[in-house]
Amino acid sequence: VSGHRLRLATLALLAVALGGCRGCVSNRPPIHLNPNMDYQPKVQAQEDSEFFADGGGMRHPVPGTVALEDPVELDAFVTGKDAGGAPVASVPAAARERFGGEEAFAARGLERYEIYCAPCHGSAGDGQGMLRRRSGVASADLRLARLRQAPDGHLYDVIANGLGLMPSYAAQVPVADRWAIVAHVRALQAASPVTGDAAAPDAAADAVDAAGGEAPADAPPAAEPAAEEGR
Amino acid sequence: VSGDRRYWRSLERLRDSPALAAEGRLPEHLRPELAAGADLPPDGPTRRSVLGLMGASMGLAGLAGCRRPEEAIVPWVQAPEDVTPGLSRHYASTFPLAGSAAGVVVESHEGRPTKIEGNPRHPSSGGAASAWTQAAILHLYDPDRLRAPLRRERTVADAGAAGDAAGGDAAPDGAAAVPAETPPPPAERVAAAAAGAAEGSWADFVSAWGARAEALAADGGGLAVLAGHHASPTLARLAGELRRRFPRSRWVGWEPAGDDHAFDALGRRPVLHLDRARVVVALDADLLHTESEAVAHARGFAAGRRPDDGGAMNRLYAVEPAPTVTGANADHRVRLAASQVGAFAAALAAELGAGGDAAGELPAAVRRQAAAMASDLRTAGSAGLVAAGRRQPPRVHALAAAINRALGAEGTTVTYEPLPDGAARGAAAALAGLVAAMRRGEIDTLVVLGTNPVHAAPADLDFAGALERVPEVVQLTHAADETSAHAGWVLPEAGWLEAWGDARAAGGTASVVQPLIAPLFDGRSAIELVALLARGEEVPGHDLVRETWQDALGGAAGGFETAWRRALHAGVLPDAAAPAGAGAAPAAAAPAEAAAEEGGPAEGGRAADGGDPAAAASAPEVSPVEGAGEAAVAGDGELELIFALSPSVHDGRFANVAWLQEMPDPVTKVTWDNPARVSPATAAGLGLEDGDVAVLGAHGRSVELPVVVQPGQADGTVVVELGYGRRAAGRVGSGVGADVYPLRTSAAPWFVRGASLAPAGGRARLARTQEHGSMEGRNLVREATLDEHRRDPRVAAHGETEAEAVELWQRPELDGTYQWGMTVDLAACTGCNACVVACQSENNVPVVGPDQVSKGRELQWLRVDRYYAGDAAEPDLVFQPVPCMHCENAPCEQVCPVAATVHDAEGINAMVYNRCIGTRYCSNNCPYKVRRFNYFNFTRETPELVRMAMNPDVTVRSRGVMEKCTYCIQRINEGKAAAKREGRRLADGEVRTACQQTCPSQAITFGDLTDPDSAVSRSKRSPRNYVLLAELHNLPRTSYLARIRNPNPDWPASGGARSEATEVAT
Repeated sequence: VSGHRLRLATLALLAVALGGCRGCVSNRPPIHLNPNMDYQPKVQAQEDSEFFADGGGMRHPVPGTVALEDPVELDAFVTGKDAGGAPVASVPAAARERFGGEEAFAARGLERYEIYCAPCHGSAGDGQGMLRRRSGVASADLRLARLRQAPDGHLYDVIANGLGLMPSYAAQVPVADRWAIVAHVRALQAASPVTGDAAAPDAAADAVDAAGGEAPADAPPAAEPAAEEGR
Repeated sequence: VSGDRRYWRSLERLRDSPALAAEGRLPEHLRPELAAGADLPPDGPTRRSVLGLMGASMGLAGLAGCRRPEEAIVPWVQAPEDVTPGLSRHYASTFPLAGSAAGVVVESHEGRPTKIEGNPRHPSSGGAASAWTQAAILHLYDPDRLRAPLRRERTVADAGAAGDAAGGDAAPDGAAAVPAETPPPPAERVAAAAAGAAEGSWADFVSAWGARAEALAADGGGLAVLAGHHASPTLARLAGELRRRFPRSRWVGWEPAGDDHAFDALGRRPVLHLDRARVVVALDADLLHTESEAVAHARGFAAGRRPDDGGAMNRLYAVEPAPTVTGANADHRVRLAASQVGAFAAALAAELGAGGDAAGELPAAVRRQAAAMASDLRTAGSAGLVAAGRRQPPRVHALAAAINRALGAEGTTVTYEPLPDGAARGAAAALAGLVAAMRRGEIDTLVVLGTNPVHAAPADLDFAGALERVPEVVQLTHAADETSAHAGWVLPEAGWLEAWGDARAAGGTASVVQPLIAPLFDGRSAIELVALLARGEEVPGHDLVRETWQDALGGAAGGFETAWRRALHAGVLPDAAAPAGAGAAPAAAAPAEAAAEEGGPAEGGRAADGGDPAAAASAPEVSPVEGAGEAAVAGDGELELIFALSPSVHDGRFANVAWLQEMPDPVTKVTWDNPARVSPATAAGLGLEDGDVAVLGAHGRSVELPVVVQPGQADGTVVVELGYGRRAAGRVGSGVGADVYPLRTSAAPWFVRGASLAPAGGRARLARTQEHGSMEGRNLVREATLDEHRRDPRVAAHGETEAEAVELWQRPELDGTYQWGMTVDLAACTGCNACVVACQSENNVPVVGPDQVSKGRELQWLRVDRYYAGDAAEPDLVFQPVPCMHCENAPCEQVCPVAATVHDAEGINAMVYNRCIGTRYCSNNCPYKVRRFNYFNFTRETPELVRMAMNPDVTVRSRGVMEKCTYCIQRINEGKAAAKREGRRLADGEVRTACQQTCPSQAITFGDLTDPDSAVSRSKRSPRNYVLLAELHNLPRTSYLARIRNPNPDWPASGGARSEATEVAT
């Protein structure tokens, strides 16, 4: 038998063997013949790790530590509170400086608001975001008189630490961006009519915030969207 | 000096090669490139040592099969603020080591520390980091660490039998007390450190300690703590608390290789300011490398050695037995046995009117050299500095202090700070006293804090034997070690990267140890354990450290929290802050007052006659062990045995850190071993040759180890490094090298006469990088004296062949925004290897093991070549770090058949790893021999824990792939991305390579060549600038600045005539 024929036969067999897999359903991972350093023995962001009990390779910073990237001073710009612990009245000047002027600051606020806030609070700040419309979960109407009167530091604090159903956005929204969002909320408030604190759905939503916990059992979690639109 | 000097790498090169061939042994450089069997995969024990180096075979799930491995994305459930996955963060912290402290900045990827650099704000590091500091990353992720508390029931030898024990006296004096030939504990017994013990828990220990504390005498008379030196105000405060609870307990601070002799002599810690010195004399002191505070010394030394533009040049003299990094950098080196350095110091002192006895036993030539040195020092006045090494007895330290005082250097080049909180005078005597008390059965409970006395205590003390008489032994340890086999409680220690702490640097600056990660295992820090011992309950370390600083920082403007946060951010505490109740400043005698120190019977009537006349009367507070370290006799041999701290494994504590094991010794270029070093003449006299196995005997004991013939060593001396031959170091360090601690006694901790060295038959294969990457005797290192340089600044560049303007191939288009380049200043480079470890850590460079190193397969991208120049007996040494040159006309690129190595637009010779098919043509064509090939899959069996030490930003290479220096391209890209986000150009110095960043002497400059004002552009304009092998017209982007020596014009020639034969080179 010549080597040539043998090679031909091998090729044919290989074609059948490989071609035979086509169209078959398998739950196993795809064949990956050349490892090619695609999977390396290092721990990348969000990679799993067999070492830690929670299965993830990412760790929390040790409580109390301060990184070089962290702010040195925990001043009003970072905490939203003054020396006495009361929320500051207005957005610190440092926030505007960070973006190099009012225009960029406002633009940043709009952009960040649309990404992180609008899904719940609505683009107009009326609490009618996609979450409300889809699931009926209540979000605060940012145009409330009470929130108009609240100091800027309060809004900042809610973004940073959450309130009621709203979780903290500290991980997603850095400090300067939080102030930009606060400024944007102020712009929304200025551009819209005052809504009464007594309005039932908003009161309920705000009550959730104010209670700092679960929604009161007697308050309707949400009104009919149609009814709200009519209001 | 520059033009006609011959440089050589090894004695084999210097000798007539045919003569060797006639003996049937080819010199290393003439042997075939590949050793026999080089093409075979490692198997048996070799395989284990290669592939298992980094740990158990965890393997990567799925890699073995041909299916794609299933990977999970595991996000945070609750994401921490300010951490963006994929972006690194940095924390200021402090690396404590044996009583000193180095400020560091640790890079963290998603909460895992991955790289350690120096903290520019900390005076002991100044932004640089030693090899030890950087290797702490691998130490943290050591898979052999102790994972949980272990409990073992021990049977205690009858205390009544204590009297029978050898060396039962408080201070055993010399050889007589040494038990004859005690066999080391069998390996099985050490293995049982883990196996024979039951796993306990901290809760068990807390309740056990409660019972134990009750059982202790009310005054705690039976309690003793043995700890290493530390500089932690918090630990000192808690030790005070422990003493208040148990007033008669004892705390012994002891280091196997610490600065005891300086502390004993001076009662204070001398802090050297080399940046202010013009003339420095190092008396057996490796100031630039292995002494404490070497990083600060190297920075100060290099700051005084900037010869361009008429900059200042200091002058360094080294008096030492075997060449060290310091000796290699010295302008004049005097080789002298360690025992004669005392006489040298006395002669120097006599010349300078600082006491001392000129009529020592020094040879006349050496006396003339001492006189020349003294006259140079006298001229320098307060800018002079004399430093004694840790090896020298207290008397020499006192003499050095007296000379400095006579020069008026006190307060300028040397200042005296209080001893570290955890150190006291007379540590050696305190240890001996403790052991004696243990033997007498006076110690009920011994707590061993992070030290390994069974391995490292002086052999005459027989610490292991004494431990058998202690009913309860508690050990806090990083990993189960030799001492753990004798401990009832073996508790896992949370290291400095995992726990809160604090430390005071030599200069007095205090800093906080910030943890980077929660303890990987169930560990507690030393301060937490001591607090537990003192208070009976567990207190978090964070609270303990804050308690210490509460008062000191509470008064600051803004209150404690503000000041504390600032301290954590900066990495240093405010200067004025002194912790309350730490007792940081012992009322110590002024240094010179202790100058009239010492003078044991063993000194043979050569006792210092009182350094400072005024101080001669006052007695030292604590008397050190009598006659420590000088002229003790170990046997009837003729050699002087000298111990050295290993630049790799320290005193043995880093034995399981593979990076350090594989880091070549700067001078001998030996990896993975601690050979006995002897001078060529001594070797010839003993009938030994380089690589022979020999028996080293002293004190009636012997150790078998290989011999390295070391040019430049003092005749009649044998130098061996401590810390090797660990029996229970772990998978990397156990059984590497020979344990020479059995030859070390409390009477002669550093050097001893009367040792013997005899051939044992057989040859050892040393894993040595000396000949690797040789460049065949071309004019590669250039140097000139300062005078020559001043007369003609381009003197070092002479001898350069004019580059031919013939281009062999088309040049790459170099049109990038930035054009990267590097210079290495040989006048500043000390050869300390910090860059080698920095590169290894940053770039995930695998460790290959001794067998592969001996085949020339080490993978470190950056090598430091060491050349000798001149006579074999007293050569000069030069170091030259060689990374990839990033040639613009790169020869490697032209021969790669798959375009795996290509040029980028910014002038970087880049490797595309997954194009590489492993032809190795590029390596063959590289004239600088900087390319490294992965002969095996060295990273495949990386254990889960060690994976975390890898830099996530750098590819972990696989088998069959060529790799080399990339100018840290991941850092360049990170910097460029950040600059682009902010819409600006990268600033000069914003991107720094790992080697540049860590260099203690700032010898490496890197940056953008298109910016004429960048540091690297300015550096390249230096008249000393030259490139390697310019005649090849490769146009390397990495260039060198020639070394400038600053010899003393009045230096007398050394005694021995230089032999003609040894001048012939290569």
